[in-house]
Amino acid sequence: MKPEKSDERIAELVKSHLDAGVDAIDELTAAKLRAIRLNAVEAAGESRGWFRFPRWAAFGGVATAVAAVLAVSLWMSGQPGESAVATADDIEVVAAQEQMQFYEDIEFYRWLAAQESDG
Amino acid sequence: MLNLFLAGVERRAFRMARLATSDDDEALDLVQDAMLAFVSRYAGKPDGEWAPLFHRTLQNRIVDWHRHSSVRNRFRVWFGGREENDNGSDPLENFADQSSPDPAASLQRRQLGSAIESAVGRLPLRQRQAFLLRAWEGLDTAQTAFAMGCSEGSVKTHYSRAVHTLRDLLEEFAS
Repeated sequence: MKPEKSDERIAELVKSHLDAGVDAIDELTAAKLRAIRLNAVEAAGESRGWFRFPRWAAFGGVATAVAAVLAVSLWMSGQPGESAVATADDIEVVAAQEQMQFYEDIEFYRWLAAQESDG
Repeated sequence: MLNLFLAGVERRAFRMARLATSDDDEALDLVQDAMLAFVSRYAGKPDGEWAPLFHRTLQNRIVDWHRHSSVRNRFRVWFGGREENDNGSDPLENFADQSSPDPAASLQRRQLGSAIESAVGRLPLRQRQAFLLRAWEGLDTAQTAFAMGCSEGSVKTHYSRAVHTLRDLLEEFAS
């Protein structure tokens, strides 16, 4: 007999024996299997009866919530206060800018005087 | 629909688990675990996908049982006990005898059944899984690979080795 034929024959032999074993399962075991199945089907019915988010949606929801909290906190920290010159440091900066203007004016007048004396 | 599907696979699932564990109660526990896990995870899937998903769940349970059992047996051997499966019982004694008016034919059938049961039981776990899922459950190579959690190439290798071993062990009955 060819090996392929022999393999098919072996597979058929084992299959028919296993099928016979399934048919020969005793009543007690069959009843236990039935009870297990009905319990599982009932469990499936219960889990379908309640609305539940799938697991990926739960993880996605947590990630979205964290991202939203971070975005809001960053946005809030970037908001300006009630006054642009609320602190002493800010006033000093503004004053320093005025002094710069003063020095630039002096520079201009000095240059103008030099032009007139040359002319 | 779900009930019909489970009713169609429960006995074969029990036989598979029984072949792996050699114990009715352990086999029933495995089937129960597999069914509960299956319905909680996959009941909402299309029913065409149920068979490979159920067998994947069951095979995972069988592999887990096998690992735990191996560890238990190793401890037993270290501490001088006997291996759990070494109980000397005939695995066929729980199955009803099909009566025959011909004693010689009956004896021959019993011998054949015993030889097949022993041969399938002697297969390494992965080979037995590949053989049972392909040859008995009728899953194709891709579905078997999914159920076993391995590649299609591995399924082909395991199946081929299983058939080869069975052919050697059951040669006298196959002619």
